[in-house]
Amino acid sequence: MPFVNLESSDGDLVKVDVDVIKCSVTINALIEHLGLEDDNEVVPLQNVGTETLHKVLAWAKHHKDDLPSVDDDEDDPPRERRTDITTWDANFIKMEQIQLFDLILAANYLDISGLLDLGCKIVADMIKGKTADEIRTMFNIVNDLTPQEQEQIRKENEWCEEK
Amino acid sequence: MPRKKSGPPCDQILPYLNEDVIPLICSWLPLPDVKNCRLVSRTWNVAAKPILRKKSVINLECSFDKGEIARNARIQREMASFGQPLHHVDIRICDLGKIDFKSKVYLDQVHLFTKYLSVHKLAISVHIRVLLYPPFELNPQPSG
Repeated sequence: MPFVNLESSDGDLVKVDVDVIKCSVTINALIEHLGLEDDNEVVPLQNVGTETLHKVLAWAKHHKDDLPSVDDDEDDPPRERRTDITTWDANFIKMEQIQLFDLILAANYLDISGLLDLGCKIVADMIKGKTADEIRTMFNIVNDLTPQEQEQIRKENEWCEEK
Repeated sequence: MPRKKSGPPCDQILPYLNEDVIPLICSWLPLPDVKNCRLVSRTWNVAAKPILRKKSVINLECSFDKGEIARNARIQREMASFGQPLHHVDIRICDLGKIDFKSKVYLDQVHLFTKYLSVHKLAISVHIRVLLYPPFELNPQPSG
C-alpha cells in the first residue's frame, strides 16, 4: 500500500505516499487500525485543516529520509535535544503566528516529534525574556489567576534555583 | 481549567496552545522564563510547574538552629501546592558535631525531611564548618 488518502477537517482529500507520512505515529496507528488495503481508502483527520495538512506534508517530505521508522524502536530511546535549527527548517517555519500555532497543534495531534520540537522551539524563542503580561498580550491569553494564586506562585518560584 | 474567550480583538482567532504542548515549549526555556510562564494563566501554571520542578533545585541549609523551625513551617506552607513530596531538594548540613538528637529542632528537621521532602531522592551534602578563634588573616601583609 504505497499511498493513502488523508481527509482534512475541511473535507479535502490529499493523496500521500505512506513513506512520507511514516513520521506520524497517529496516522500509522490509524492505517493499522482501519486495516486499509488499497490506495483509495481514506484516513479522516478531524483536527487538521487543509492548509495545515499541506504544511505538515511539506515538512514530512523534506525529512522523510532523516527520521527513523516508527516501528523500529518501541522503547523510545532518549531523544537528542538539539537546539540548533537547520536553514531549511528556519525558512519553513517562517509563518504567521496563527499558522504556527495550528501547525504545532497538528504536530501534537499527529504525533510527529520532530515537527513538534521545531514549533515549540520557535515559540520558546518568542517567549524568552518576556514578562507574563507580555506573553499574555502576544498570545491573546486571559489571566484567570487570582492575586492570591499569583502570590503563591511567586513564593514557590523564589525557592527554586538553577540546578 | 482553561477559560475560553468569547472574542479576541484581532480578526483571526488565535488557537489555544493546550496543556500537551505548553510543557514542551517550557522545556526549551531557561529557568527564569519557565517561572514567568507559570504567571500567565491557570493552564500555563499547571503545564509549566512540572518543568520547573525538573529544572530547578531547592537549596536548604540546615544548621540545627532554632530559626529552622520557623523556616520549616514556612516552606511547608509556601510549597504546599507545589506538589509533595518535593524531590529536588539539596540539603546542606552544617556543624554535624553539634546536633542534639533529642532536641526539638532536630526532630522538626526530621519531620520536614520525611514528611514533606522525598528522602530517598534528596541530595544531602554535609559541610562541617570549622570556626577558628581568633580569626586570622589569610593574606597577612608583609610588615616591611
